[in-house]
Amino acid sequence: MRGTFKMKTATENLTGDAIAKPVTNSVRTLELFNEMQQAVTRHTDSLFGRLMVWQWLAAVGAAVLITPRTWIGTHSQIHVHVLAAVFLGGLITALPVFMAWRHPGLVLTRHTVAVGQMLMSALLIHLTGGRIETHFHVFGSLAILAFYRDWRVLISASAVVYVDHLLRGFFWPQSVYGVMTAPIWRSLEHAGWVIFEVTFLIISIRKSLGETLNVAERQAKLEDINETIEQTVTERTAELTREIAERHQADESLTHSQAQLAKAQSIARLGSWEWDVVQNKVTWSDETRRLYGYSEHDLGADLNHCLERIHPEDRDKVRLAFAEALRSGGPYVCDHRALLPDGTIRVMHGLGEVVKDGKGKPVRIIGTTQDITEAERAEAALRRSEEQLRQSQKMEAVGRLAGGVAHDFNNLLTVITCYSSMSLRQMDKTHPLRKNTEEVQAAAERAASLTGQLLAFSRKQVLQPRIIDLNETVSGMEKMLRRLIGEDIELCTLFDPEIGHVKADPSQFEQVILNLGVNARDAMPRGGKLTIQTANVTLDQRTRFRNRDLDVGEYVMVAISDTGIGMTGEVKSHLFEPFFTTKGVGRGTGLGLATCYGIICQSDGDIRVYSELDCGTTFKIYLPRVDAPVTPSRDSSDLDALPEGTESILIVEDEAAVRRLAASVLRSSGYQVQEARDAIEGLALIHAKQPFDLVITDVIMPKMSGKELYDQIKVIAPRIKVLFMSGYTDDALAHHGVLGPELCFLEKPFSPSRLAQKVRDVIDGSKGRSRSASKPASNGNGSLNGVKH
Amino acid sequence: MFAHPHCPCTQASIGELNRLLTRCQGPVAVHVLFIQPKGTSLDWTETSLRKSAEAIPGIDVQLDPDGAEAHRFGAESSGYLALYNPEGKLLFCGGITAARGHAGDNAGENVVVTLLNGQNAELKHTAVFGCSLFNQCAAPSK
Repeated sequence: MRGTFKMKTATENLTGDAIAKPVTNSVRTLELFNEMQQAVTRHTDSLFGRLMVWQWLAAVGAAVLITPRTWIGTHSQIHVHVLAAVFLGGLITALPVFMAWRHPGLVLTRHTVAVGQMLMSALLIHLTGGRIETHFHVFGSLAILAFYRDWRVLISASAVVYVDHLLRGFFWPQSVYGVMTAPIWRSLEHAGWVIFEVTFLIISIRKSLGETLNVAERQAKLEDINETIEQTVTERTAELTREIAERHQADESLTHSQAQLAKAQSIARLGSWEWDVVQNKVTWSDETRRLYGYSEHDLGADLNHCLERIHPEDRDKVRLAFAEALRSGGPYVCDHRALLPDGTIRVMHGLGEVVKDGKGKPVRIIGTTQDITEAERAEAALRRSEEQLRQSQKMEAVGRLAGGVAHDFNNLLTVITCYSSMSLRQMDKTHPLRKNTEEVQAAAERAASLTGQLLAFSRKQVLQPRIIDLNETVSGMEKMLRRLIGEDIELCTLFDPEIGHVKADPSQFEQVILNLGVNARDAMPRGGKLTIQTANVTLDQRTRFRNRDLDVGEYVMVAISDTGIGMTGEVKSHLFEPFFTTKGVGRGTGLGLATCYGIICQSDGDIRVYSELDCGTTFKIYLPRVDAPVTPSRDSSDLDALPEGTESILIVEDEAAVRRLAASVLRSSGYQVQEARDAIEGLALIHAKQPFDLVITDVIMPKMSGKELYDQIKVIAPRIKVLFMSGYTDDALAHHGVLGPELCFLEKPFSPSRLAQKVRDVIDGSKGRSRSASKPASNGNGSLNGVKH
Repeated sequence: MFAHPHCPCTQASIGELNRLLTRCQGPVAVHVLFIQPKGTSLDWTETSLRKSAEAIPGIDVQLDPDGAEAHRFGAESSGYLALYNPEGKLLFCGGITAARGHAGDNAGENVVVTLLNGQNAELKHTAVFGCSLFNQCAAPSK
């Protein structure tokens, strides 16, 4: 209500006669004008609130001071003016002061104030006995009332003044003019002066209101400008905030990109660099600094300083590459080695591009360096793998050839060996053909040995491993080795008494020792020393030799060292290849060391060679150590008398000669023998006839293999024992050439006695798995592998 | 002039008396009598008003014990002035202020000045604004 009232008042003031300036349409101007006017009004209310109280007190004071008492002779009493000042003055003052205090700003308040002020003037005039000077209070009051800047207030005050003067001038002139009588024109004159003053006060009020309006307009405009400025500032601030955010985001993106680039460089081990040719300053990325092991202070160094990190042997190459790039303007490409502060050597691949100035003069080279050490290693490993693959393929081809030959060849050798053996049994020592027959038998044995070596290096032979003590195995060969190497060579053995056990085929291992011994002998034509040492070895890290890894673990090592002529690196690189020999034609087959390598590798071990020219050679054989006890061995030497029996035996063999031979040998030993040409026929006989005590079967046969026949027999007649015989199994029977413990095997070629003994052993169920092959034999000329070292 | 020592309005009469004397051309004997009612002490009469009167040169200030002289001259209110010519003829009597305690030009003062300057004046009497000199008498106007 008050706000509405104030607005109405201001509007009235503006639209009234007090305002000469045109009314602004600005609502804000009106608001500001009203606010200012209201502030002036309230301030004036407050002023009058204090002034009227002060006037009242002053009136009381003046009355008390001037006419405190009235005298009648010697008697006196409080002057009536004092009472009038106190009570009438208080009455006049109370209402306006209350309104100014409680309701400042109201129109009613200022009119109340105006009326009260004029009445106070009248009282003061009366109290001063109508003194003309006191009338100035009226003019002063009107001037102060003009503070309201409301002409209506002046009208109210003027009206009160006029009525007061008129009435008192007429009825009580002494009160207002200090005279007993006063003419009417005196009141009119007073009214005239009041109107005179009020007129100019109203003019002044109009001007003041106009100025206030101007101030309001300027304030409104200022606010408008401020608002515009603030809006501009706000918008600009928002833009700046957005720009800052965008810049921050861009900075973050840049930082992220730089981090990604640095990370990418780190991952790729690819650093960037730049050579300022003019100033001869080289700068680089962090990755380049890490790659070359530069320090922070090296940044910006000259090229020669930077080249100190290049391997000395490659510096000239790098300089030449830079010089060539600068000369030709072509790319800088240079693989080189970096020599890091800790002595590490890394292989780097450098690439660069020449930057020229406007005249075509090279000014900079910008490039990259990538650590390709691992790639180089991988490439080398790949090359080794390819070499290994080629080697494996070669071995596989040879093995396939050997297997193919061995199967048929062993059958033939079996026939030759058996018939020659049987013939020798029927000849006395003076028989004219005995010598010839013995030669035939010896030739067959050498041929069997060759076949065995072919299968050995190609790892196609059937191993029958067992737990052995290498000290015992090697010491058992000492006598044979001494006879083999001759008197010019000293044989020295150094056995570790705490040597562990290994799982290996003892006869094959003997073959390895024999081969290495023969090679050592050939490497020491003028005599020397052959040392065989055994020891327990612990490998605490994975090692590699000739592309073959040895895992971490416990091993038993056998080292065969000679003091011979040694061998070159070229010879070492081909040492274990089949058919590689440094011996003359007819002296070596080139299969000895290949056979050793095949046997050892097939036994999950490794053989490594260390050789120095004119100093000697050492072969070290590593076989995994096992904790199991040694498996007891039995003497499998040929017996002069064939074991005999009466059991029923079925022989399944597709090779008729071998089948007939075996049947003949066994019948001669008393057995009841049935023959089958293949496994199908064999199964038919088993189903049709009485159950056999033993089935002897070849392994590789058409229609059905010996292993499949074995599986069928285990189903239909598990009581029947089975003995395999073969010269080459092609993994049909053995896993990677290692025969399972439940299978009995007779290796071709065999002799009649070995066949009879093996059959007896299997039927009796004792040591049926013992190898029936002969002990290792030389190839006739004493050299089994043909490598002279 | 007869004056009540404590009348606040008589200060203006004393002031007007002082002023009119400055406007007179001939010699004049001025006597101001301050009444001393019966039963009052001299201290009762020693007021600022009396001192103001005594300060005016050429004025004879005396006490009027019990208002005897005032009764003789018919004065009832403080500020009553009676003007006699040298022959003892009363020329004027009344107040020389326009209003109560109101200094400034007034009819009584003008008449006195006119008479003192040897001229004639028709007005012979004006109102006296002041306290009553006697207990039984009321002032003309208060």
